[in-house]
Amino acid sequence: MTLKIIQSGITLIEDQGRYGFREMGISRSGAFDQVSFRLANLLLGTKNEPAFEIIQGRFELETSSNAVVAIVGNAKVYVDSNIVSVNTSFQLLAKQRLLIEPIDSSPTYLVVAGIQVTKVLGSASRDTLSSLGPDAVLAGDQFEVNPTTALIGSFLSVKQEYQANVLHYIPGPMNIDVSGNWSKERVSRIGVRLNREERVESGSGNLASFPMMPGAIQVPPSGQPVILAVDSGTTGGYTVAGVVIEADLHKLARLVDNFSLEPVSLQYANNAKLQLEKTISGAVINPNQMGAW
Amino acid sequence: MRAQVSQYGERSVLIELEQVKPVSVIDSFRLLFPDAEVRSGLNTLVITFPEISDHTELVLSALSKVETVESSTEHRTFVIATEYSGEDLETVCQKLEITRAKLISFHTAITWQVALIGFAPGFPYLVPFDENQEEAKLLAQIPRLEVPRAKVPTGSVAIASGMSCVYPSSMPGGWNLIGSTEQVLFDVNNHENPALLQAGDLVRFEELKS
Repeated sequence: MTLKIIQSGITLIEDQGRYGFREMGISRSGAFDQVSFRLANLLLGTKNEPAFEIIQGRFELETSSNAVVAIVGNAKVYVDSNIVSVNTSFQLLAKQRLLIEPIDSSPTYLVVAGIQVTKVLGSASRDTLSSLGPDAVLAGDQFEVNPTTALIGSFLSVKQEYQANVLHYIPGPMNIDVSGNWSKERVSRIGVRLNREERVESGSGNLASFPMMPGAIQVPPSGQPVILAVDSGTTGGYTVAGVVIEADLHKLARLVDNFSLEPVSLQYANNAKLQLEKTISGAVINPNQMGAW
Repeated sequence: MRAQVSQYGERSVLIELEQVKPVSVIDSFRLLFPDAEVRSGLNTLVITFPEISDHTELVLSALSKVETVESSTEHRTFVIATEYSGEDLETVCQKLEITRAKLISFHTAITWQVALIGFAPGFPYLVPFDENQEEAKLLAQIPRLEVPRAKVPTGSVAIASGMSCVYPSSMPGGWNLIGSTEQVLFDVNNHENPALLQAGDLVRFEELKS
């Protein structure tokens, strides 16, 4: 079966990410919003099927035969001009047109069960820093979809919050206070640049390169921090004032224009992670309807 | 072993080493913490543990058990055939007030060691194995370019700030280009080992006469 892209907007293909290669200078990459990505897979009963990460604009496709799809995000979804519920899995019939329009700047995830994407180093993710993985999706692109089984009629029992206004972080290893209110100046999969009137202490731009990680809050000499995101480089030479907790990393993709950075304890980070995993594992309700075609 | 140890995010520890090279102790740390990911920086190590916790005490108490690898025979050695015809070769020679032949002899005389792979996939930061070597001290006088190039060709061999590197693919870069090699440093289709080099490996450059 063939899937054809009618309109692409700004869309990449992403999955869990590329694990085990950081020491070779290869970022983990993967879905910017791992929570929405995982929920979309859970709706289908799959784990790591590659997703379309729709960042901006209108995304539209059709398939040559029936397909099962799941969509998670803050978006309007239409099938042949009829509005359908987002955060569900459903069957798309042959030649029907599926249209997705994001409502805000948070990415929306569409998973088509059985989609075939060539993996690079174990992952179908596009790494925008190193240009690894599949090219950005464009109108006219076609994908093969293999017959498979997936859940139809699943839905999310918990409403997702797409307006993140707080990021929690563990302070250190270097000692610069970055807490308080910030505006986001620029967001990409590589990093989020922050701004505000009152500058923090200047960091160094010339440290001996050391290993970086997504969530690291770098403070360059300008005093204008950058929070590293999924495609950020594996090493860097800027001062790191803190690291956003892993339970909040998906919020980098959901940030509102004005938000705050709040330092927290390791205990807080641990509880937040347990809570998030509990929420995700209980988020999908499915009436056990299997869709096969 | 002396080192500064600090918490780095919820699962990692940053170790700032004093007087020892990260690559000489990285294997020892990996043996001590088999479930953790150990990555090297130029004079640091970062250990990422599976679980969220303050691991600084654990790492501090392990420092006494760390063994150092000092002998060069314990590392893999790669020879990179290089044509010394880089765009910045002449400028570098002028700055150091040496001939082209002399510069080549310095660069090929140094045994380099991969301090870390970073910046881009497969990009090796090479430091002199013996930083007190006369040739190494001399080349260390060359800083990075004031204005980085928007595009450095694949296989470019370059030097800056006492280090050397080979660009595994075409990318922006601020190092002084002194030569080029046909050696492939990064191959995405090699799933087992996409990067030719790893931290700790030794590298020697050999002049390829055109």
